[in-house]
Amino acid sequence: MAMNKKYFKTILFVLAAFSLVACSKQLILKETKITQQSISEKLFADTAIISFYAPYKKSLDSQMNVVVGSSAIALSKNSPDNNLSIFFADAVAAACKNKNAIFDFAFPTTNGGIRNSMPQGDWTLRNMYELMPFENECVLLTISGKKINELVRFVLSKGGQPLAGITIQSKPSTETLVKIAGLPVDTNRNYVVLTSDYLANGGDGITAFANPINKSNLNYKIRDALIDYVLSQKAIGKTIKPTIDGRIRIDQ
Amino acid sequence: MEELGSTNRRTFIKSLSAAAALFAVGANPFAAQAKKSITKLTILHTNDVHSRIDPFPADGSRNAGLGGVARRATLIKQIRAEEEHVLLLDAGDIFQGTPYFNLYGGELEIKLMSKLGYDAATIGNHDFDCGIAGFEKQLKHASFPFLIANYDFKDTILNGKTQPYKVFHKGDLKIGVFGLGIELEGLVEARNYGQTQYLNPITVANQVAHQLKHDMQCDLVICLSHLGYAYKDNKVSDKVLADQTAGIDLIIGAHTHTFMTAPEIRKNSLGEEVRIFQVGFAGINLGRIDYFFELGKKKKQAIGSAMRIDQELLDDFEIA
Repeated sequence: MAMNKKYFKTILFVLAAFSLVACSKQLILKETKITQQSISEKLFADTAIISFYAPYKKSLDSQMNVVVGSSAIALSKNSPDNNLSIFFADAVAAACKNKNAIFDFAFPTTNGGIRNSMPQGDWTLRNMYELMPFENECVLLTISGKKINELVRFVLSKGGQPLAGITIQSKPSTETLVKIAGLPVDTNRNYVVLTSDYLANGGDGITAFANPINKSNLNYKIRDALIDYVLSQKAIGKTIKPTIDGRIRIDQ
Repeated sequence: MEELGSTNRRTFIKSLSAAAALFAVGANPFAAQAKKSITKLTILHTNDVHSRIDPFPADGSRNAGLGGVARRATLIKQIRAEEEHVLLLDAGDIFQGTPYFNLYGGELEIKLMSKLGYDAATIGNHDFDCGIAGFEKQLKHASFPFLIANYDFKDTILNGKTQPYKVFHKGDLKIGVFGLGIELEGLVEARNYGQTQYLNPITVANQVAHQLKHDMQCDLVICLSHLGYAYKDNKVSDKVLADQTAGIDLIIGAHTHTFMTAPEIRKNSLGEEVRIFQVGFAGINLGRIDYFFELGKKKKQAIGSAMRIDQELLDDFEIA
């Protein structure tokens, strides 16, 4: 009945009363004890709760346990090369190209929009939903070449972001080197960037996408683009393996 | 017969008081007077559960096998069986993160929280992910109030459906709980929060905390905050809130998914102690704070304190 002590991370604080005014008889805080318990397999699952949500789970499982592809390695945004962010950007770009969208580079999400890591081995539809739970859609924005610098500053301020088709090499002493489709940025021309409606609308504080020259919604969910890409790899018998190419390098 | 009977009675009474003493010693350090003057209050809390109803799958990832609402239910039930005065609170971002939300729109999350007996929750930015209408639609499944003091919903369909604070009575204790939400502009798509007005959380917190502590004489004031633990820039956070307000005893935090091993103790604008606690995300942990109140004369100063510096295991500012 009692909690297993091993799993009961108890930190005991013996604290004096808070400073209080007045001197009537009343309840005084004498001690505060703070604990935190890990919800792990050491706790039995409440059977009433399990059976309450079983119908929801059954329906969900039947839709979400479908295998859509598989990965050679586990992907995480906490990995040293942020292989998950590379996968995300490349997959959305490839799927949109496959839909005949034309753009110069892709910035389909911020790192904050990547919501779960992806396991090695089979990927289910559930994995795809947990990676990208939002209903955001792919958007093409035409922006002036003069805005690229602002965008790059945003990316650098966040320590990198999921990008495809653009490379950024930043060193403290020299000017930041930015290339789009292998060429230096031309401030006299416009660029088409593939992004999400969330970022196009200024999400996560992006200012470079404000007042674009042109904006078109592809009516294609980012999640569907990811799923289509994974399915397309499965169809040709390939496993997911992101290309680690040092597209963003920030030397401190 | 008479003789034997009284001996037995004495033995019985003796062992009864021994058992009572033993029980009392086990219960708490103020056991000797427990019956008379100690009131214990247990606060349980979660934050950023993000539709994580099933435990994380055993797939080798960082949180594999952790969490799960049915296990949380077991733990809460156990604690309620052991403790008389319990409050169960959530600091927002109930929605979004697993297909349960995509398929059922948050209905199951709210129904389960009601079954677990949550006493109150505040609103996180992701609770707007199906728009104000999507959130409003699920309110009918909630047996607990949503507390939010710095969102003005008067021009929206949520008008009158949330409340800034609630005062709970537990034994002789009065506990004031209020909620604070994060700035929505730039974080939540405008179409999703509509005409919601975001009010300065510091100003609002000072007003509400004063009202609860002084006008309503609450013994404890708790803020359910979805502001986030801390930021690199000067964006308002729980740390800023703690420093620039008075009247709050405990900030139950959220949004930054911060795994704190212990609460951070800071000084408020009057130099009084405020605690900040946040327990990660996804229902991996249940936070628990036990307060022991004693009937006595109020004192003007804190006698002293032993504190421990908090340690952040994970400071994933971007994930929220």
